[in-house]
Amino acid sequence: MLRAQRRAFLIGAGLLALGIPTRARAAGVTAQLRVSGTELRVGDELVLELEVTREGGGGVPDPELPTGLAQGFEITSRTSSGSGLQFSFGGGRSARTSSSSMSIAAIAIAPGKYEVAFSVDDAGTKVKSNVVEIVVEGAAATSTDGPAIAKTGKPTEARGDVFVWSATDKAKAYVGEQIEYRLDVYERALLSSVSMRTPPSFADFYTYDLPEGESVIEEVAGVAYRVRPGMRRALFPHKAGTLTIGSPEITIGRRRRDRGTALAIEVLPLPAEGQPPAFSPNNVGQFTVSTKADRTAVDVGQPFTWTVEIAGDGNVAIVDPGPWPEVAGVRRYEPKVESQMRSENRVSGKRTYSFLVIPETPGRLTMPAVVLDYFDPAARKYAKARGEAIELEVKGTAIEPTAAPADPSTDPDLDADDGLAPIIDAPTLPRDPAPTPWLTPTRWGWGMATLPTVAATAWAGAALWRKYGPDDAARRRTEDKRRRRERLDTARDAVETGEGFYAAIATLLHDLAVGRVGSQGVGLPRPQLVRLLESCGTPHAELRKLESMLDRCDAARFAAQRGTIDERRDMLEDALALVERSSLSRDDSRGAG
Amino acid sequence: MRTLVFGIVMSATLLAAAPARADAVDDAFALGNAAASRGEWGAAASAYERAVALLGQPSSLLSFNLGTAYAHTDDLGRATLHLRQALDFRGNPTTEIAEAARTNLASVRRRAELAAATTGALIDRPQTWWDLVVETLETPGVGWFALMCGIAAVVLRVALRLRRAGPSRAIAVASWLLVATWAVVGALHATALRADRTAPRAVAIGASTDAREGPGLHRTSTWSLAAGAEVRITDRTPDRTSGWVHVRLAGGIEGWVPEASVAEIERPIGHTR
Repeated sequence: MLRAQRRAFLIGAGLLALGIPTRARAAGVTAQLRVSGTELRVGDELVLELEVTREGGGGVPDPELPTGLAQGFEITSRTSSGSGLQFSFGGGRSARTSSSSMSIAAIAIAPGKYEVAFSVDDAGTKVKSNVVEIVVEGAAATSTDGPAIAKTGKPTEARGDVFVWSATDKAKAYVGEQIEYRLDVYERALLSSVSMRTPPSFADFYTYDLPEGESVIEEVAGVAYRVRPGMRRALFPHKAGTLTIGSPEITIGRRRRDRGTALAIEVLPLPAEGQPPAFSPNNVGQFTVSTKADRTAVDVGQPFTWTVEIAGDGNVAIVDPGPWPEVAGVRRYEPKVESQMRSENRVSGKRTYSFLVIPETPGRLTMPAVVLDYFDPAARKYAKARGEAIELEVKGTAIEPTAAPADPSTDPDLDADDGLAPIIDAPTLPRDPAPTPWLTPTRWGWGMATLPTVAATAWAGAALWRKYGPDDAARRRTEDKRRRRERLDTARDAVETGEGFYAAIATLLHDLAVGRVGSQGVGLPRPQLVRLLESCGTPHAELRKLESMLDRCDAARFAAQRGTIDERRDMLEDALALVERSSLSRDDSRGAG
Repeated sequence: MRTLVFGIVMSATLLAAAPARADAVDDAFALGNAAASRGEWGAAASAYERAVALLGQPSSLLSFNLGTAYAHTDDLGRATLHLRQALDFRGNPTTEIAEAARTNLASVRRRAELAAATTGALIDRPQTWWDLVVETLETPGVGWFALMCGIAAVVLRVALRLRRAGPSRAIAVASWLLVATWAVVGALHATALRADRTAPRAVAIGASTDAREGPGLHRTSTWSLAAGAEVRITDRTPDRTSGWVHVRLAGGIEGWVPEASVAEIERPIGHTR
């Protein structure tokens, strides 16, 4: 039951909401005008809001442009702000309202009182908006170029908080003479959005940009302005007469504009007095000419570069050097021309003509001097710039001269095949390449690296040997052993014959005894030597054996008793036993010695 | 046994097929010579290029004829490249070939200088005595000289040590001079070899190639490289497919050029197209 009642209520409310606007359809259209301000100055921006509202159903008509703006305003923009649909409930009824709005921006350009309104066309019925009265004060903005005037120097009259000022450095100039044009914006407040709306026109001038420079503070009729540089140009008038530089116009934000004045320049023709014949009016300024060659001696047929450089203050890029001097005995091609302009406070630069020259005859070659006629506007007279002649020494034999074409790549002489050795016509192609050299870079590198390694190793080895190698005692022991071996070998060789056998054994045994006692035993007679051996702790049996063997040796040597081979063998065995196994062969007495 | 004989015969037959390649080289060479004799230099160059590709080894005679054919077709870059290769000792140049190659190289060089002067492109400066010194330093003879000086110095020092005699002043000075020569000449030779290995010499074969600040056509062109100019390749783009090399002209002017616009002088010939 409750659910049925709730559903009936919702349906009823919906029907009420949809039905009421239908009944408001007959209501009319209204137009409303709102403005951003009613008291303006020339240059100020005015924003108008146009709103059209219809109560009830149906479309909203578009508003027409407002009246009253045409004389004193310039419309800069027009945008549709949007449209809307609104429902309202109250007093037991509901209403539907549709609306549409438009926004118009305009700049005040002339003073006066203006009544502004707009209207809409609602199915043939004009609906007018409210009327708004707007007052514009101030002087009318200049909308077109005024009469051109000569203007140099700085402004002398303060014109509001911002204005544009253009001037030239001279009001009178010769054709081709350099004139400096400057355009500045004078402002009392720092305005960020100043832009050039209409740049000045330079129809009768060559122009070059110059550096604009920095902002400065200047005082104009007692009022301090910040001077923002807008444009610097170097102008070169094409022709004589009164030439005009068009007036510039700047925009300050969205609201204001300011237009400068057109400038008149009186351009004089170049004086006829003193003018060189066939003088080019392009040559106005102050110029110098220099010449150079890239070498002082060449061979016949060898090209060299002859360079002529014209430099100075003025429009060097259009300087006309006139006809180039003819040179006999050379081929000269059309020059390669380069211009480099420099823009500082004034325009200057240089123009370079590079000639490719090929001498055809030997001897002394003179590249002639180059003379340039020009008009100096500062001195108001014609002058000459001269590049010096250049001497070159040409060696070789003469070749037949030919006319030089403009482009060396089309020179038939250069394309000719003369001078090229002919191909070598062989029946087969030899296939015997040169053997690869043994010393490859890798091998060479290893070899070079090995040498210092070997040297360093040898040096280190020698140093180690010096430090850790055998000392004097060790060397003496080694020497003793070697001597003993020699004596034994001698004795062994003499066993068969007996010749020198006993002498060798005696010497061996004596050396053995002396070696046991050290240097103390050197030169001692045998009895003392034996006593010394005894004092050194030599066993008694070994001493007796030593004495016995020495006695036998003496007997054999001095008594001519050589004995038999067996006796000698026994003697040798005994000597060997003493040398190898007895305490006599120890050398612990060396230290004492 | 029969199988063994058959195998030997077959192997000999197959191995004998190799000389047939040499015939093809001779045919291409003869074709080139015939075209050259008719004044058809383009056809001659094509035939010689084919011979170069088939030969697969340096040949001064072939390089000379190919360079001369290119000189006749005004392809100054390739003419310079092949005439320079004709002077390479690995091609075994005879005196006749060397003299003819130098003559043609001088003619081509003159034309290349003229073309460069006209177009404003840069070409390497003519060879000076210093270039000859640098080239000489690369030769194996200089390497041998340095090596022998080092060996002599070591032997002299070791001999003096072994003699245990106090060295005379003259011998000591001589040994140190040998050491100094070994070090100086060896360092120069090593530098020359390293330069040749790390920055190989190449010849510009494209006509007036734009050298740019970096690899890529979008980079600013800073100067132009004249055909026939000799350069050193100092760097390459890592990605070989992008194909840019960094070249340096004598005097230190550098820039990036397409790899196809230069050809290494000591590269295996037959890769210039």
